[in-house]
Amino acid sequence: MQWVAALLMMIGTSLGVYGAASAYYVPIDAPDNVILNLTLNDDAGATPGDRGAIVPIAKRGRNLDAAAIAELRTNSAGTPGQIPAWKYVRVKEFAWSRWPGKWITVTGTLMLLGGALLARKTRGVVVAAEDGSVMTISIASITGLEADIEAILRQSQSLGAGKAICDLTDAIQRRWITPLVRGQQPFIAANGIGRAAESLSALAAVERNLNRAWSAAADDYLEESIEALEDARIYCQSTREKLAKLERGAA
Amino acid sequence: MTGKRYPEVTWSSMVFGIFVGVLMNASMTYAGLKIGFTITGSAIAAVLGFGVLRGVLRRGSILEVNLAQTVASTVNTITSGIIFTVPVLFLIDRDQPRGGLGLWLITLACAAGAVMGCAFIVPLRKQMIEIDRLRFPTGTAMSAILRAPGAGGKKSLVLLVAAIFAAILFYPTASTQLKWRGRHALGYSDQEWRLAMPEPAPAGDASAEAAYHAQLHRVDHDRDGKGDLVLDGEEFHLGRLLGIPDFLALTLAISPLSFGAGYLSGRPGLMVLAGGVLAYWVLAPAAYLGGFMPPTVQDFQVTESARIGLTRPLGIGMLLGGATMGIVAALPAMRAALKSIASATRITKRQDEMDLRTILLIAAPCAIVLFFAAHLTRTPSDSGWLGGLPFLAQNLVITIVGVVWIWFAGIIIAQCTGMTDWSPISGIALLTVVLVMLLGGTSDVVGAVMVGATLCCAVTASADMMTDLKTGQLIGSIPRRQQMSQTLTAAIGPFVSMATLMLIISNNLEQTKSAEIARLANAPAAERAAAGEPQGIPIGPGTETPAPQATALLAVINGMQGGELPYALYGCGAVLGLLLGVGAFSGLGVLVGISMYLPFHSILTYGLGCVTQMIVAKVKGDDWAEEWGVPTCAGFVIGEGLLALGIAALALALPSLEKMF
Repeated sequence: MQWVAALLMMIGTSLGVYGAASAYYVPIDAPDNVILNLTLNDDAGATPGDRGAIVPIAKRGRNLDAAAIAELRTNSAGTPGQIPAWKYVRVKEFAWSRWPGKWITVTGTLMLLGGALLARKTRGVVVAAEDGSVMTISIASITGLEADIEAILRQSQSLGAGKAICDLTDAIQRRWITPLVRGQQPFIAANGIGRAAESLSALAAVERNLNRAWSAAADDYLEESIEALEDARIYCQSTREKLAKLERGAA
Repeated sequence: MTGKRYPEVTWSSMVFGIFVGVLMNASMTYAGLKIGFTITGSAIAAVLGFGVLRGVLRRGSILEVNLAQTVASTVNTITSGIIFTVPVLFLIDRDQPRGGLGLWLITLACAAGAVMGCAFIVPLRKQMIEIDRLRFPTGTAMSAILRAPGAGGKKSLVLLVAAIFAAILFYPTASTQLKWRGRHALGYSDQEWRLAMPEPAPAGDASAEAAYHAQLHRVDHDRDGKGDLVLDGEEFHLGRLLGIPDFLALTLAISPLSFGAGYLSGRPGLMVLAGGVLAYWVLAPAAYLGGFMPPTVQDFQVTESARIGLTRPLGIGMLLGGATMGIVAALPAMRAALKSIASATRITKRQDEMDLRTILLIAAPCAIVLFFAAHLTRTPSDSGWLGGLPFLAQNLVITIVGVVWIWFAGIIIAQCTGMTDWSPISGIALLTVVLVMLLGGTSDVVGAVMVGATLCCAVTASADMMTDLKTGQLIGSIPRRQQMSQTLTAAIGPFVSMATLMLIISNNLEQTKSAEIARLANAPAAERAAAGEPQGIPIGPGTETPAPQATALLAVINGMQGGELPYALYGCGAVLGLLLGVGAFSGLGVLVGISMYLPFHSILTYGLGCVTQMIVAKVKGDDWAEEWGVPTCAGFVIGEGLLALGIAALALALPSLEKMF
């Protein structure tokens, strides 16, 4: 179904924009009362000029009076081998009744709407079925992340050098943060963005504090680095609490 | 180093940031007016920060350097807000009073706009960076640059090599700006890589002659008797080389920066490529073949003609519709973010985010400044949608609309920057001017330019703030400290830009007047009498600073006054953008919109970057693609950025050097 939705959206958008392309065009053979006294918003018509050049018959800004219309109509068949036949002129004024591609745009818009609604309906199903390597955001995974941060904190006094903390926080990023970030979309799809937002924001604060710990360690400010790791741990607890609240709400 | 406070916001980082920002702002104002060149300069400030703070002064932590680049880019980025808009006043009226109250009120409004842009975007950090996880390619690249020394020698080396490679690759695209004694430096075009000309057909063979002319038409568009260039300026015409019809443009921008931004965006960026394909490989040829282009347009002009008359207005509409849908979809997340900011609950002992009260305290006086600036610069008018209202009420409505529009446009620009690294500021400025002229009447150019300039300053500040906050997230800055520093320094930029602009105008008047006096000195008496008192030209064509963006905006204002704007295309685009956002993800309308708005060659190079990231991730794994791809692409971003700035500086300096030697 996802493919059908994507196809509908693609075709709908293409038709929509194609129809829109003709919004300011009017056929040169339209009845006089439709075309008379409109103003050209682009050069119109073409005739062969000097040295193979192609020159317009009427310049942009010209009023479409009877003489201009007659001249344009006379030359609309083009010049064999040089200028193809042409049918439309672009004008400044817009009118729904004159718009040649209006039904194409309407059809495209409806197809796009159908495709978009279908995509919306099937979105959760597809996201949930994605790659298994993505880590689910859950109390268990956050507990695991917290345990790893606590392990660094326990070792911190003996680590001594900033490089060691950088390596350990890098390892946490790879093991937990990156897969958890990849799991955000299924989490949002399952809980809705409004309900998921608080937990995700707390998780982002864990990540930011880990990054702060890394930067401080790289600059050899170990005390600040350990403080940031403490804050990351506190945000893990906050994330767990928010997830628990979310689960209680779901139940 | 235990026991010492980790330096983040320090006097040295603030002063250094302001100093670099002011220097870059003044240079960019001149470069922008002269050659249309602007750059936010985050990368340059970061590199300078490393060089000066860490290298020379032997101080500066990662976060301190980040703060310095945050402040520098804030002071500098606002340049475009002034130079895209204010020169219009001098292009319309040469006698516009320089340095008068009106212009300084506009400057004050711009400063208020910049501060408001910073304040308004603060509550959206959680939604854009923490929940939507927008990539902000430049922000991500900056974090790689800032972390490079601590990330190990290999990654630093990769970054450096990539930067050098990017600079070498990019140099010939911009080198032609460097002119010395009438000759320019060699560029890609000078390589003369051309399509081969066909052999003339034997006389009397009609079919061979027809084939010869068809082939000649394909390889020599400008009819100069030479095959078309394959490498032309900053473009690589792959389509010409492969013999693809010209109305299907297959041209790549030679831009390591665009490639790097594409790589850093990864799979989500593919939607930009898809939008570009729709615009330039489906819509433009279909419109051309369907007859919805003037018959004077030839095959090789289709892409540009479609961009100006069709895809650009549709793209602007899509951006508006897509952003509206994005806001609707993100409302629950915004509500949660606002709730958490409003409650100001501190989970740790630090306050991480600027609170709502502070935001309101900053925004309210700015809105009042905007109102007074509107009231004092606008001329009373009975036309426009507000024509029936008293003048005071008109200005109140324009202020309210302006403030809401600043918030809305700030979100659009920040989303675009977050998803793609491109920001359609000129398009948004255009819409702002149109909006104000619809409200206040088409004759109210000063009011429209004032609000347009204010909005431009506001949205550039918003986008820059969000990019810097992304960098901050990745290196562990405390958002509140960045937000406060940026908000406090945002007002500096407009004053520097405006002062530079006034200086340039004074110089232009003097130069052009002297040149005119010299010319008339040798002219016949009749010509001297006809010319009257010599008048100088403040800015624009005929001066050293043609102000290309402002000239383009003037064309829009003239078009607006002549009723030529394609409102129906904006409307169609908005509906389609809105519906695209209903589907799989809410940002789709914005992505497709920006791809229709931009030139296709940039999109193709960007798309190539996206595809490369996907291939690398598939072959080497996601972690490898991130670990090594990010420093490489950061190198591409910084290499091109630094070189472009260097060339612009040199191009501006060379004429003076030429006179000296």
